[in-house]
Amino acid sequence: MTDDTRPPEPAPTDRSIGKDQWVEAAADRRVETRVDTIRRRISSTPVQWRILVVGGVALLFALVSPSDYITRVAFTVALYTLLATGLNVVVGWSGLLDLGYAAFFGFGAYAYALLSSDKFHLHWPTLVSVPVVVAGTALLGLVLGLPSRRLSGDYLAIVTLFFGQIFVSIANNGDRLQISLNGNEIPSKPFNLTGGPNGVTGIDPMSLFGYRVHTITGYYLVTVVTAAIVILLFYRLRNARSGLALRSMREDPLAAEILSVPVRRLRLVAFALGAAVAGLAGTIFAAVQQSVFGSNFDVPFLVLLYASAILGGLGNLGAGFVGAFIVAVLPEMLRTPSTGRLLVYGALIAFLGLRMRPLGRLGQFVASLIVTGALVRAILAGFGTDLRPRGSGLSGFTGALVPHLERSVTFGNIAFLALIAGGLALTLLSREWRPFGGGVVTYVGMLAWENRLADQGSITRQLLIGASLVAIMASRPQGIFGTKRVEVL
Amino acid sequence: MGQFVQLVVNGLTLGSVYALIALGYSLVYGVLKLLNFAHGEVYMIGAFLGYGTLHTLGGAADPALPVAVLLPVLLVVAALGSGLVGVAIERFAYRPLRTAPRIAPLVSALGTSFFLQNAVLLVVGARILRYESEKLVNVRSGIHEGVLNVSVMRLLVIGVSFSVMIGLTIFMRRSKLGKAMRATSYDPEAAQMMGLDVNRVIMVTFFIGSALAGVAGVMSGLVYNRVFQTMGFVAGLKGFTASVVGGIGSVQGAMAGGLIIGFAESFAQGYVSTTFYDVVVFLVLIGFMLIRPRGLFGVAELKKV
Repeated sequence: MTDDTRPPEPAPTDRSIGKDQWVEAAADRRVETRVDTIRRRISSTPVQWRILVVGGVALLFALVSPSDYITRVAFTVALYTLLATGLNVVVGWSGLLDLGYAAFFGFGAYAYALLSSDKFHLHWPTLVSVPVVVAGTALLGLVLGLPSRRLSGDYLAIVTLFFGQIFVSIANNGDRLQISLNGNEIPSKPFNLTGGPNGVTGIDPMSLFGYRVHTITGYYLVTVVTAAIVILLFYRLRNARSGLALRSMREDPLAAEILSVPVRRLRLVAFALGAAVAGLAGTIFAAVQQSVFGSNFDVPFLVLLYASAILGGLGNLGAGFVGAFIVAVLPEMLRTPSTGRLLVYGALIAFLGLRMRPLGRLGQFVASLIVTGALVRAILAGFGTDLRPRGSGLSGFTGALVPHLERSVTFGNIAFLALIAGGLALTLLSREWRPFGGGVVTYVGMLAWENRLADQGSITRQLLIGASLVAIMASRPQGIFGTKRVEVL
Repeated sequence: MGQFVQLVVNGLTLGSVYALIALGYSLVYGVLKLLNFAHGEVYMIGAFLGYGTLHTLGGAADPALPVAVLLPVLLVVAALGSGLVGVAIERFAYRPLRTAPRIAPLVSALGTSFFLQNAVLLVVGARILRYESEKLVNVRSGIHEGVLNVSVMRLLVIGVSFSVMIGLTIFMRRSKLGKAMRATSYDPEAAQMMGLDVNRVIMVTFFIGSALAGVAGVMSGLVYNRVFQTMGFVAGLKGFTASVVGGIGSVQGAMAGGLIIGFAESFAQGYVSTTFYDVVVFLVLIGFMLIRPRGLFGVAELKKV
């Protein structure tokens, strides 16, 4: 056997240790979709540049922002980006389902509030209190991460959720801390730590390098810079030894342990890192709001954070921005019925334009929509309901199609329940029948929207977030820009 | 002494409700190895279904049916309705994720729970609704002997809960479907190869578990008289831990775990603090889960590589 019959040696790459060729080649075997193309283009530019460009645009936005209201929305996006980044390290990299994450955020906010308000007459300088709070939150994360030494998966999730509930309970009832043991009250006079349901108010604004930050624009800039720095640091960590070890833990903790990755210690590190970022975000939140309440940090907020981290994409740090944008801008769009209408019908038209091909399917959809509309109107008229559009309803053709009814609450609720049932049934229909079913469901949805959902913007937002979490898990579990987990069977 | 007896009775009532919720978790976890976060919401929906039925039938003050018929009707309607909700949750939120990474169904469950809570908020509103069960039965009826005071509603809750447990144990041991459930729980693939329709078994499991949650919801409405849209979350959390404390997957374990948590909560309320009893209960549970994660009746699971 001569040397030239041997297969060529694979070219040595600079970091070939710890890489599996099959896994490496996974991308080549996959058919590239449109989303993947965008992802590849973005990821081929260096990270520093990407962060610089996005951060720079974000900073410039403060100059052109037309009103404080818009800046406040942008601030929320930046804050959620920061929080989603921290969550991404715990959940996306390390695969630990930390349901106490909102409590770390709350702890940071309360700690900052207590150190810089009249509550205990402490007014620490910002550059002292923020590092102290961040270190304290990281320490708390370390302590709360301790159960991960013994528990994993669902049990760990539940234990962290308990911690979150304990935090909210203490924050909400912390104005009369007292325990009675065998009739002895300890301490003898109830101790007021958190202000209870009244929260802590009158929190000092931040002052950095001699500048007192007192406008929302200022906080927006601070948050953008902070988020950019944090994301950059995490990117550095990502490809460092510890970052690789962290990510190996998500894929298979057992295999990682066998490869002498200190899994248990790294879990604590992941908890502490996530907690530190959440604590940092908490200080900014407290300073902006100038008040904190326990109810700010309850489960709905946690779900919001998970939604922003997951919608953007688990495991992809920068993508937190995408999720944060969706989660923060959506409620503002739904605040008034007119902008909400723009969002809903805009999304509907965009979806029809993208997915209803060939045009025949669109025709089927529209026909079914109109027939359903005529039927529903005939039935309602049969019951003697007034079908004329009312003041807040749509006018013109759509207004005539979708009536804003009298007793809109009852009708809206019925339509809403029908929408859930119809939407679920739609996923069971075969492809040929979907346009017809889609038309029916869309009409019912429009009825529900015009009569009920549009007036309840905040509930509608929560419904959309809940539904989108379920839908995205079923269709694309890694999120829009997430890294797909390699399943080893 | 009087207070102690009262706390025991409270603990027993509370524990019976938790035990019924825990059973749902336990059954589902048994067959799917899945933590059904939305289970607490199913319990809440059951409570509302019971309320709606009660009011359709004329309300507690002037019911259209005699009480002895009315109460079973409430329980059955709530059980059927919640059962269907549970089956729908399984079909649409969990079935597409059977082969997904472990974290996906958990997030999906979180989303489902959030969606259901807000759907109820939209349809019913944030008010607290009252069953007004004191108008349904005479408050003085029940057992009143010395220090022992047990109202008839509490007796009903404890009685229904225990008979459901016994019935379920027999069902799981004797019936064909119970055997199928145990087989699926032991090894779904092997069960499928033996000709079992695993999807159907899972559906039935969800139906039974959710129906029990619905029954628990109505009973808590009858005893505690309040139903509101966020009641399911904490109850679900405690129900889950009850099943863990007892040993997840075991029917007797769920019962024992539910009672332990009921007693813990009742005594924490009575002897430690009325505002921080939840904190105390949660701390005890964290401690328990750390020391014995497989629970009282559970079998340690071997991890195969």
